[in-house]
Amino acid sequence: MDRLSFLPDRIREHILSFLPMEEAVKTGILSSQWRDISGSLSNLDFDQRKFEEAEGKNRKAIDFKDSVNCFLINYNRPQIRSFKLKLPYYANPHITDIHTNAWISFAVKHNVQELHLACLPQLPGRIFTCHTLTVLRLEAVEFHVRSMVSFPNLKRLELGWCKLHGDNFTGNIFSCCPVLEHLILFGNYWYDFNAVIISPQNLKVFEYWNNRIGTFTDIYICTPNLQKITYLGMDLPNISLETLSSLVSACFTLFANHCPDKNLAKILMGLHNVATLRLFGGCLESENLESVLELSKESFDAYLSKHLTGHLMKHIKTIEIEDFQVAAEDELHIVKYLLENATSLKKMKIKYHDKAQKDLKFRMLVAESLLTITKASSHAVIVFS
Amino acid sequence: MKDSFNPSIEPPKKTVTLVSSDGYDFEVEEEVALESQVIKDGFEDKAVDDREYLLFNVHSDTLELIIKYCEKHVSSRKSISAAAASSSSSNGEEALKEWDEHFISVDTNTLYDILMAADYLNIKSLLDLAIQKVADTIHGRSPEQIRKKFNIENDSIIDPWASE
Repeated sequence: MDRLSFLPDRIREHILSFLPMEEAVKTGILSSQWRDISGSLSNLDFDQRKFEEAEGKNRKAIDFKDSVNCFLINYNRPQIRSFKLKLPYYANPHITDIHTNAWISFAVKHNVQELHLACLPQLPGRIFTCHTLTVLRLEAVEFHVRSMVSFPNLKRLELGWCKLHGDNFTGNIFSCCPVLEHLILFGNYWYDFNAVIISPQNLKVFEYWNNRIGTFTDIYICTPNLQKITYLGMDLPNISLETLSSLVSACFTLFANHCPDKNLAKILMGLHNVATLRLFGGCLESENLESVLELSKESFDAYLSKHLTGHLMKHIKTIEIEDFQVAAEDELHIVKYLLENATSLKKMKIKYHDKAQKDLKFRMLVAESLLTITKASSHAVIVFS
Repeated sequence: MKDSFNPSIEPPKKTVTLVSSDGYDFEVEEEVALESQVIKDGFEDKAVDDREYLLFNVHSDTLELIIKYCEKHVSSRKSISAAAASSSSSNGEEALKEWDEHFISVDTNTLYDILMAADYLNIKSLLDLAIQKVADTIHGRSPEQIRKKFNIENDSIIDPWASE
C-alpha cells in the first residue's frame, strides 16, 4: 500500500524540505498526488555551479536559466521563506542582470524572509527596501552602502567578500537595521570609507575578519547590548566602554602585528563582565603591552596589577593562550599573574608554539613553575595541548 | 496542609497514564510524557489525579516505541548534562545519535506509524528523525525506483510515443 503519497500535505512538504531542491522538484513526476506538492516548496535554492556539475548530466548555463524560469513560473505558493541564488565566479554570458533581477523581484514580491545572494553582476535596488527580510546574506557582490535604506525586521546580516563603496563617508551604515542581532563581516573590500561605525541597539553577536592591508577600514563599535565578539584583523577595533562592559565573550586575533595596538589597553581595562576571553596572535605578548604604556620590564608587574585587576579578574572563567613560546618568558609571567589573581577561573588552555612543542626541557620548566604557583581559584584546571 | 509539613508521607504523583487507541494503558514518568509538546502544553492546567491521556491516533505497538524513544532521550540528556557539569569528556551525544539511527531503522509501515504519532504528539526531534529517514530513502533514487520502493502508482497520462 502506498501510504507515503497519502500522508498529510504538511508532512510531505516537510519531507521535501529535507531533500536537495532539485530532487524535491523531481518528485512532481511521481504521480498526480505529488504534482502540486513539489510546486509548493518554501525554501528555494538555485546554485548554478551545483546544477551544472550534477553527475551524469551535460548541463550548461542556459539550462540553468531555463530551469529557474520554469520553476518560478510553476510556483504556486503565496510566500517564499528562503531564497538562495548563487552564480559561479566566472563570466556568465547567458545570465545577465535582467534575469537575476527578475528572479530576485519574484522572491521579494513573495515576501521572502531569508535571502542569500552570491556573485551577482548587479544587485537590484529593491532588496534594500524589502521589509519582510529577517536574514540577508550577500557574498561577492558590489554595492553602495548608501543604498541600504530600510530593513525593519532584519535580525541577521552577513556580508562576505563584498565590495562596499562609501564615498569618504563616515557613519553608521547599519542604522537601517533597528532589530539586528547578529552581524557578520568577513573579507570585505571597503572603498572610500573614513571609518565604519557599528551601533545597532540590539546587536548581540558581532563577527569580523579581514586579513588584507589597504582594503579595510577603522571599525568603531558602540552598541549597548553586545554579548559576543569574535574579531580577527590587522588592528584591534575601537570599542566603546559601554559595549566593553556588556561583553560576555570576547575573542581577538591579530595577524602578524608587531607594533603596539592603541586599542589593546582600552579593551583590557574596559572588559568588566567577560566570562570567556581569548587573545591570539601577539595580543598577549608583553612587549606589546609594555610599549602600549611605555613601561620598562620592572614596572610590568605594576602595570598588570593596576589594569588587569578589578572586574575582569573577578569574572573571567576561561582563558585560552595560543602559540606559547620558548623565547617569551614574559608569557609565562602573564600566565602566572592570571592564575594568581583570577578568582573565578575554571579553565586555562595553553597551546604551545610548534617550536616549544618540540622543546621538552622548556615544557618541563613551564610545568614545574606552574606547580609552584598558588592559584587564586582552587577550581582552576590547566590544560596543555 | 499535612503535605507541606511532611511531604514524604504522600509523595506527589510523578507518573501519567497514556492510553493507546486500542485501549492499553501505559504508565510513564511525568518527564518522559512531557517530551510531547502536546502533553506539555496542557499539563499544568490538568488536575494531578487526572493525568490520563487518551491517544486516539496512536496504536499500542507504536506507543511502546515512542515511549522507548522518549525515555532514552530523557535519560541521555541527564547524563550528558551531568558529564558537562563535571567537565569530564563524554561521547554521550555521539552515542545517542547512533542509538537514534538504530531506533529508526524499521520497516516503512512502522516508520509511517512513528512519523504520524510524532506529528500527533508533537515530538519535534522524533518527527525530524523519521522525516529524515524517509528523505534519505528518496534521496538519490530515480522516479521509477522511488515508485517501486514506496509502491506509488504512476497515474500520470501514459506517453503514447514511449513504446516507439
